Amino acid sequence: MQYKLLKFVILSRFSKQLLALMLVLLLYALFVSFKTGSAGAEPIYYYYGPAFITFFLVLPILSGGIAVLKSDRDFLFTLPVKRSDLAISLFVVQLLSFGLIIIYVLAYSFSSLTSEIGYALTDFVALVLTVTSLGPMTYSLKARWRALIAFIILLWSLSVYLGFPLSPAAIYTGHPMYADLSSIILALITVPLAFRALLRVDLDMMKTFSRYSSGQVKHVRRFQGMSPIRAIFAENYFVVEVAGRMNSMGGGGSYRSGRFKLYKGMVATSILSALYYYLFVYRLSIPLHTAETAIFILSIYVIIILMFLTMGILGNERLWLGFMTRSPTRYLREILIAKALSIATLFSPLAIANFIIAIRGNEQALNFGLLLVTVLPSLLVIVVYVSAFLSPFQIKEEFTMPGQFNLRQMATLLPALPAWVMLAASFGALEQGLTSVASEITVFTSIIFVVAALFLLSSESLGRKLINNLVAAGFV
Amino acid sequence: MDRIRAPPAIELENISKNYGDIQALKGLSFRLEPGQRCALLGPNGAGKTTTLKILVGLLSPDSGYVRIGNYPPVSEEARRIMGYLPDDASPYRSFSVRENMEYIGALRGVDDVSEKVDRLLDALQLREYERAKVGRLSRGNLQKLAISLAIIHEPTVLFLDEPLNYLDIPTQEIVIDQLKMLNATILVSTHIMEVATRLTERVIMISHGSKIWSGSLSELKELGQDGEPIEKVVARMLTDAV
Ligand SMILES: Nc1ncnc2c1ncn2[C@@H]1O[C@H](COP(=O)(O)OP(=O)(O)OP(=O)(O)O)[C@@H](O)[C@H]1O
Ligand SMILES: [Mg+2]
Repeated sequence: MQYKLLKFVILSRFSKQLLALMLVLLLYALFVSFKTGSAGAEPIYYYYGPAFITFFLVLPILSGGIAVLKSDRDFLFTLPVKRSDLAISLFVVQLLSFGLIIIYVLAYSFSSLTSEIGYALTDFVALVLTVTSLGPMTYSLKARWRALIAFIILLWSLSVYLGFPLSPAAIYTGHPMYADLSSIILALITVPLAFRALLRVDLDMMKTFSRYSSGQVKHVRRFQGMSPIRAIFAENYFVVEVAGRMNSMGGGGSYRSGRFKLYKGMVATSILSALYYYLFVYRLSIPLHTAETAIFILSIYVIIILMFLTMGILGNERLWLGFMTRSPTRYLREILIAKALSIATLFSPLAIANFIIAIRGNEQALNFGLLLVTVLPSLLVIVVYVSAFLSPFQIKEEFTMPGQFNLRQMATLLPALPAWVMLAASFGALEQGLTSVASEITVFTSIIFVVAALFLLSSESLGRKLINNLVAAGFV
Repeated sequence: MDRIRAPPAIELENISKNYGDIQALKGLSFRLEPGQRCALLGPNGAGKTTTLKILVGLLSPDSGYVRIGNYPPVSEEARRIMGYLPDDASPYRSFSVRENMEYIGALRGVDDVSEKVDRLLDALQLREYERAKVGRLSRGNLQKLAISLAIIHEPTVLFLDEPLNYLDIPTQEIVIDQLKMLNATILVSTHIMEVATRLTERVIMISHGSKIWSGSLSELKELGQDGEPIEKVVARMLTDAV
């Protein structure tokens, strides 16, 4: 094993500060996990654990996460290094950017697992390896297949909420042996496949790249006869684009973007909402805590997911095209409004389901419903602004990461904090039985975020600064 | 409408621009008369690209001002009549060739977008790639698409950054013809003298962010001693300027 190669591969992908921070986070997480070994199950992890596990199993598949740089193709892959050394180095990088997240976010929950700590550790080691492997294993598949695999894993992993024991997440629902069994099987399947993929990553990258970039569009989209504003909405409202660098550290295996038609997305969210409604009103068997807690945790997740999926939105824009067709700040404003409304519309079925649940007596659902249609669209705008200043990157080529991960990219996620804090405040108030205070905090949160987003959008000078910043960062 | 169709003058007054510690432009001033075609000539790193970005209003200068006709470049009036081709121009990746053209045509408020697109597809020999996704195009075809996106609204002011890059010789001729057909004030940034002589009649020479010479091509030729090629004259002037 060539350590020089390993060192080079790591340092070309992670800044030293970020590595240091990751080490601190890891030590802290482990420290906390052993320190807080209080007896008595923490009920909150019943929701928390499986949800996090599901999320981080699905993320590397959907993001096509593989930590390969653009320059690797031109440089690293042409070096006479042993395939296996290269594969191991890339696996380590993959572990750092995806696998370890499981430890950062779930070590805390060990306190609720002290009685089965041996099983828990086994489960986690297998999970870390699986999460590490899923990206390399799936990145070269077509989006359709990746979505299918992600969906199956999602259902499987969430099935623990319905009492199914044979799933890695079942460690939190009282089936440690089955959890270990399933996570070990998963790791035994995924790790060899990941290594096989990494051994031939250079060849596959070329193939994947040429397959995706080749081909013709089947249906040419027509913009003939549309007014400028209609064309902007046709592209930015009726088509939902997600683009982000997705991994544990706010950076990502690759800057990936995906697009789907709004109405198709709404079919999906409508089905999800119906399912959600059914679960919360009729089915959810909640042995440990209340439905409010579940909804609260869901809203925290939705925020994280949205942040990851929107931080790269400007990366697909072209300054010399869209921004030249009208006053640049006006164009910026119009596309962001269209995109924010698009997200609000996409989530509106879920919001409606929540409002009905709220009427039926679950106060927390009001909070979640409002969050979906106010805070999320506003956060989209805020995140786009923050990421444009902190880590702007234009997507000129897919499948490769544009450069090192660093601390700045992580800072892009900071706008989520106030949203969480305010959500938690409202939730806390509700838990204390202060229903009216809780809904006041909710409404207040919505107003704050909408006002913040509107302020950003309306500031001409900020818009100019943003565009200047993009130009300086090499956007064309 | 006729008043708008007439090409405007371009004015750039005492522009300075720093990127951090790097002084890219130092008090650069020049003016193009309506309808003039002018080359912005200079060695690598002279500040040509920076100048164009400021002229089109994507980059704000630290000091000085720019006028397109009587308007600042970020105004709706200026944007309606301006066309811009950056170097390394990359179109929207999610669109095919035709979709890119129709989308920009619609955003530009072009009448009869479809016809305009058809005409450009034929003129620039992009017809067979109409449905091709941008990622699949060769670098030269990408450049042709980029040029058509820059001129789809028949701009009366055109800023071109190394427009003939990547084009084969027959295509260069086609592009030159298309550009000359436009009734527009044109500024072409290039470090290749031949591009300047093919496309323009005037030259503004910059080096290290300042103007070192401007005048017509014939004046430039006269600076050379008996029969000296124009490239040599320019090379000498640029070395002298250092
Ligand atoms: N985004 C940027 N950040 C920092 N410095 C920059 C940036 N863009 C340009 N520069 C610097 O500004 C100076 C002028 O660059 P510019 O790109 O305008 O030159 P140019 O004349 O177009 O050169 P070329 O012929 O190589 O295209 C150079 O020294 C360059 O390094
Ligand atoms: Mg240049």
